[in-house]
Amino acid sequence: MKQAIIGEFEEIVLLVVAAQDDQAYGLSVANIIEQRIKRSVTLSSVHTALYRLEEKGFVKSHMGEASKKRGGRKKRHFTITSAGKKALVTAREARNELWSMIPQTVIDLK
Amino acid sequence: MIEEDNISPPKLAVSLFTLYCRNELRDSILGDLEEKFYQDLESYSRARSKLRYWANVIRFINRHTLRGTFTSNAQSNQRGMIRNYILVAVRQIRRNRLQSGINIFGLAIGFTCCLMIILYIQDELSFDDYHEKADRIYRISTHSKIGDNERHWSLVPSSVAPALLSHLPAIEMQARIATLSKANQVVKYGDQLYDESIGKGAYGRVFFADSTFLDVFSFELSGAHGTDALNKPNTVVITRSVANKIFKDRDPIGERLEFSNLGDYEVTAVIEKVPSNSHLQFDYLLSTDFTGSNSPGRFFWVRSYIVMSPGTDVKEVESQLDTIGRAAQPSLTENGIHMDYFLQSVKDIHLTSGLEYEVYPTSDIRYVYIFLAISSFILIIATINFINLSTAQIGKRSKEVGIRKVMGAANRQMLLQFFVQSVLVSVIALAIALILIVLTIDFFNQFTDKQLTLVTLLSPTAVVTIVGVVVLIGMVAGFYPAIIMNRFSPILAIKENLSPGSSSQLLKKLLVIFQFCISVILIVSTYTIVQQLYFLRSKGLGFDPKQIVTLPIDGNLSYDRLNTLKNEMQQISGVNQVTLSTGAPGLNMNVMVMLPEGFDQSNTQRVDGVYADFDFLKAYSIDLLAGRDYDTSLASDSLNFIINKSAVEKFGWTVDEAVGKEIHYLGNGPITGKSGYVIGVMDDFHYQTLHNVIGPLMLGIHSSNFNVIPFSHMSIKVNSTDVHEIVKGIESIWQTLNAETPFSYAFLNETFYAKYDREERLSQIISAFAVLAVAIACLGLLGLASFIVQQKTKEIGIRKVLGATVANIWSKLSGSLIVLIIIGNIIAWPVAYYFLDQWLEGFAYRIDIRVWIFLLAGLSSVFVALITIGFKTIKASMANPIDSIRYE
Repeated sequence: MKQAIIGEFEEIVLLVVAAQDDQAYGLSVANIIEQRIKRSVTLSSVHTALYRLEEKGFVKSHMGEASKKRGGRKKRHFTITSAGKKALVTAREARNELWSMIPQTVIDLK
Repeated sequence: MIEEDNISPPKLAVSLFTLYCRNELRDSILGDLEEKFYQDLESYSRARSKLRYWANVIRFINRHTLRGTFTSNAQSNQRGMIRNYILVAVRQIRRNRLQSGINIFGLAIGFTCCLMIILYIQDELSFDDYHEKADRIYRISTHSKIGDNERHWSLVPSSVAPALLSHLPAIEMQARIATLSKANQVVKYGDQLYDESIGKGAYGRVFFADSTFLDVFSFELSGAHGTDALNKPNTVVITRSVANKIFKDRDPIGERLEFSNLGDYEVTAVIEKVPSNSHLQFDYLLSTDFTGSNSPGRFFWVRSYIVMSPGTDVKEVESQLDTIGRAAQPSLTENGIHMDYFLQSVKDIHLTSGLEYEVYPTSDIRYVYIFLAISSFILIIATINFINLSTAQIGKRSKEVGIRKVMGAANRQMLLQFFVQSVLVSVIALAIALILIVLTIDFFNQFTDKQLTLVTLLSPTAVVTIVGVVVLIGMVAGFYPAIIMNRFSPILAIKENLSPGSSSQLLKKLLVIFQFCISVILIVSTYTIVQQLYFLRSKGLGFDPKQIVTLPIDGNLSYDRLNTLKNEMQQISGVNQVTLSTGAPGLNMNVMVMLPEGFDQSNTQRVDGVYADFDFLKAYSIDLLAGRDYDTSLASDSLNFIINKSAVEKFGWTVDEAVGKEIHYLGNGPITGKSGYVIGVMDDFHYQTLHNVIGPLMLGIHSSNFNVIPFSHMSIKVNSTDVHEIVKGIESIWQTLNAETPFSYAFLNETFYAKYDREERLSQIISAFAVLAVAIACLGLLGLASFIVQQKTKEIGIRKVLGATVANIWSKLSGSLIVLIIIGNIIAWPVAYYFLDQWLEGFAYRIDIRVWIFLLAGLSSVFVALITIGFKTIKASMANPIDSIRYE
């Protein structure tokens, strides 16, 4: 199998997981995406992305604490793995590389 | 959100989720969903948040969350193939949006109708089966013969049931009930008056019952006495709804109610609810002693129920009924009334009884059959669409089939693939149908006057049947295309676009013919039924019911009181005539047994009768054909009769010679055995609904000397100009002179119309179904037309280049389908004619089936088809021929 490729949405989810450092779970990731980058997402698509990332080995999950707000059900916390970190870095480098190729006459980044 | 604490996510959605989600993910996702739900509540309404919760639960269905059974890791090849079939099927459905849409929509409507009808029929069949002893309760009914007049009654003399109980050890107990539906029954509590004489559908709600009534029938009782509640005299059992109405929050047990003319009754128990699927509908049960009532009087005729011991041979009991029954009431035989008795299981009364004098209107098993037939027709039409459209797709899929065969697909596997696709379509249709039912069930309930719920569909038999039908339809629709595909030679299939052979063309034609045949039958039937009902409403009754207001009155009021009331009413401007009578057209008539001149004791005559004051004929504007009206100055008139034309004919007289004939009166009461003379012959008028032929009717004078039957109604003939004012006037006089009884009135035309209510509803339901059936058939045609157009795109282009007009092409493409529709019509006509003629036979007054209805139905079916096909063909033929020729 080739090295797992990471999709655009998965990248965002992975970034949020990394940003929330051990406190990330399905709903929190969805909320951050909606609030911070104003992109509307469904809960199920976030969950699906998380499971896919887990399959690819970019995140790990463990069961966390329960709360009354959740009807006494436990959270599934996601943390980024080293492979995940590497994937993020690779993705960012690839992007930077491509960004640097754009001549200033096309997009003026200032 | 104030009550936020009480709100929780929709339970059904939660259980749906737990059903499909694998265990290890379940809690974490449910938690997230719940948190999200409370989050939503802050910005959305409650309903909106629940809806969002639902949407989320449905969105979560994917390969990560589904349980192992759906996506097993144990890689069986078979499973993989089925997954592939489903994938291909979903793609096919998506690609042919129109055809799949037609299939799914049509089937969904078909399933909806069928499921509704199943609910309806289940309810109809469940009548009275909630009684603990339901299997052993029988009603005694009579087959009476008076002269040549034979009737079936739900009534028997009150002495019959006790006689059976004492003679036949197989009978455990008996209970009798009686109603006084025509009497003005007023209930008094404190100074509050409640008019309880007439319940739903003009049937009495006050029952007089034996103390054993509550042992025979099972109702949910509250009160200390249990089933002994009616053991003491002057006790009454009421329903919860009446208790709430009269006593509000107070405890009704032990309170006393005063019933007009009957006295005080103590409330001893409350029945929570009389189930709607009971043939007995009542609000009050009054404890009654029927003994001694076998002499003619108030409770001579009663409904009698017996309970058999378990394991009794009903036939055996029935064979002894006649002897014991006749011996119990010898006076009937003496009067020339021949009685045969028979038994009806209490569970059969609602659907298969239909006797005269039922306590509450019963239904008819034929309606169940009609509904069943129509809903299956709709399902058949939808299935035919399904088969036709799947077959039409064969040509498009020949390449796929060819490749699959080359790769080694066996015939069995091809069959499975097609099954999977069509079963998938019908499952989707079922899901939509269930949603449709949830949305429309309230409406349907209103329509049928029932309280149906979806719970009935959850019974194991129902679930198995539904799943069975859904799978069966899918298989039927998938089977035929699969067979044809299997015949394809793989090489040919890949090389060129094969089209289904001529045999499938024939099948398609037959199915289209069949579809339109059914549609036309439904159109013609609907039209005729509606016409017949219109006819019943508009046919003259022989008097103008719009101008007559009837008031139920208390027959025990003194003559003076009644006369004062009548005279005062007469003074109101706009009132033409007021009359008091013991019955009224459309409401009730009395039964008389007489011996006209020239007849002997063995040939007594049963006639309907009404006793009135001197103004009856004037108030109802009924013409005299011979003789004279009653004369107030002639004392002898009090024993004389006026009879109608039908009676004259029945007795074999002519109108002129009838006047002066002697008639011997055999009925019950003080004038039994006396004789009077016919003084006049009145014209026939409809004193019953038009279901019945006008029977022999006799009008007698009600006199204070021998008050046989109390007055029941006051009829007021009004000028129809300002009815509103007149009714107000009537009411104010009523309030001043007769305040003890609540005021209630009805225009006689409304009374008559109410009796056609059942048929009215029926015709509406049938019309709705017919429209659906025709719409689905047309949708099928639309699908077929679009296939034909697709197949012939090139041909259309070439024809256009060569100079064909849009009209040319339209007629070319529709021609073959129109021929099929015409054939369908020709088959439908005689079939429809036969069935409608049978149905109309049931009415005494019926319309003739007119030929032009058939032509109209035929023309409209052709017309609708032309438009449907034109919809597709015109678009195709208007297209630029260059594009059409390049197609493919």
